[in-house]
Amino acid sequence: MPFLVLLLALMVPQTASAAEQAPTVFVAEMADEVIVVLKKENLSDETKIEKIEAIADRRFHFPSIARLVAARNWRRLSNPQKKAFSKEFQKHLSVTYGKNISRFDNQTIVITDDREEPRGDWTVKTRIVQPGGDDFLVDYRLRKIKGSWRVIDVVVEHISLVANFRSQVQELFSKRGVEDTLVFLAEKNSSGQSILPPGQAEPSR
Amino acid sequence: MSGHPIKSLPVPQGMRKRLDLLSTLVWLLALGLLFFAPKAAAEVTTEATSPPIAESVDQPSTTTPGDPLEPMNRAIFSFNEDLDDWVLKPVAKTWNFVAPTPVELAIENFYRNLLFPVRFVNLLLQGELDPAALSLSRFCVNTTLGIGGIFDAASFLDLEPQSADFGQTLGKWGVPPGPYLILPLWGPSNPRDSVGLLVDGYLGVTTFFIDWPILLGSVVAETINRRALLLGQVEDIKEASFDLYVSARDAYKQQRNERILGSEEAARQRDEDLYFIDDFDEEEW
Repeated sequence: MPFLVLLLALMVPQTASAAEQAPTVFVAEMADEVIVVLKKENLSDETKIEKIEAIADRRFHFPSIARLVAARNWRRLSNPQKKAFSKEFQKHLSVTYGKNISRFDNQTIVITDDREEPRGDWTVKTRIVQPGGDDFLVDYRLRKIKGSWRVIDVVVEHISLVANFRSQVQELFSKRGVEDTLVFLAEKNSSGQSILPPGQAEPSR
Repeated sequence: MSGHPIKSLPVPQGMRKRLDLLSTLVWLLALGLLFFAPKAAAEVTTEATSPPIAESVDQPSTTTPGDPLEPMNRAIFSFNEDLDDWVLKPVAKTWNFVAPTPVELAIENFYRNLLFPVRFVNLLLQGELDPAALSLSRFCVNTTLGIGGIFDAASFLDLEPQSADFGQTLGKWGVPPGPYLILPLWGPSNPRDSVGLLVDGYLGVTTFFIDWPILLGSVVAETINRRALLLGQVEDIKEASFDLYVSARDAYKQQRNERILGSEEAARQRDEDLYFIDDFDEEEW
């Protein structure tokens, strides 16, 4: 693979302070943290999810993600509604994506490229290598928030998660109105066969 | 067993009739496209000038920009979903139970290799000479070293998979997509990509023409096999979405944009509206 630049494993030792961290290092560390948890055989799925949620809380900026997903609708929300939306959205992500951990099958993550984006954002491109299956591409959109990098979008095979959820949330808000949408999200979260006890996923400050 | 598949082509008479039928269908669809064309053009101009979807918050909920056929599309979408739930998925599950994943992957590789002419011709039509050459060498390697295409030996030689279709070719030539369209049994598309589908089908079929019952059987078999490979993923996507129809529509548009504009340009166009909202103040709440 011509793009194959940096192997994840080579990037582990890092001493630079978080503030000056290179975006690729940030993503490599995150991938490493997650894979270490997934590879632990003596942990229950619940514990693994808890640990991965803790990683996601540090590495992702859920308030920004929620705000970008709500987009123009954000203005229409009162502060409690903003909090509720943000919380339900984060919970939705952790419930639905948390279930994927059982599918982990020794995939590895290779950082293929990175580039600077407007206003100081950064994109780090990765390739998930699946033994005995098709590779797929995952790009992380990073933004510097309070001095450290945070993920504000994940683009899987050229599909932006924020854009995709924005179109769905837009549909919900315009068809159901604000209050009904929040009720719908809460119901969807509690009805999904969540392995988590309710209230497990709290939004980061 | 007698030799090369090309040599076992059936006699032209019967085939010609069928090809006539196919080309009639292509022309019918092309004609149909004419009716869509004004709408399509209108769509393109509004897409170019109007602000992002998020702006339309206060509009009535019945019309979504870029999806004038939504009621019909939703009906076909749920028909497809039912068909999947009741027929395709159960069959695929059974197949998955019987066949180990390497077998499924081998079958997938075999079909992908057979569809080489579709990729090759389209890459040439798009003027993508290097990828066309690459796909040709992949075909040669996989047909020989990969034993008729069941192993993707080329990937081990760092010959990366290429993909191209006629809808994409038309897009690169500047043909507008027209309104979003869900095809029965197929899924997300639009008039341009539907024409593309017919042309690609034609390319794929005529090159390796066998006989219709066998062809139909192999399409069904391939569909089941591919569905078996996607068993977990489709369920994940269903669960992860608030409105599967809207999610699929957006995903289709994002992916087609990437295929036609290239990933750099598609990302650039998307990101302008996506990551910066005018009144994106940094207030704490």
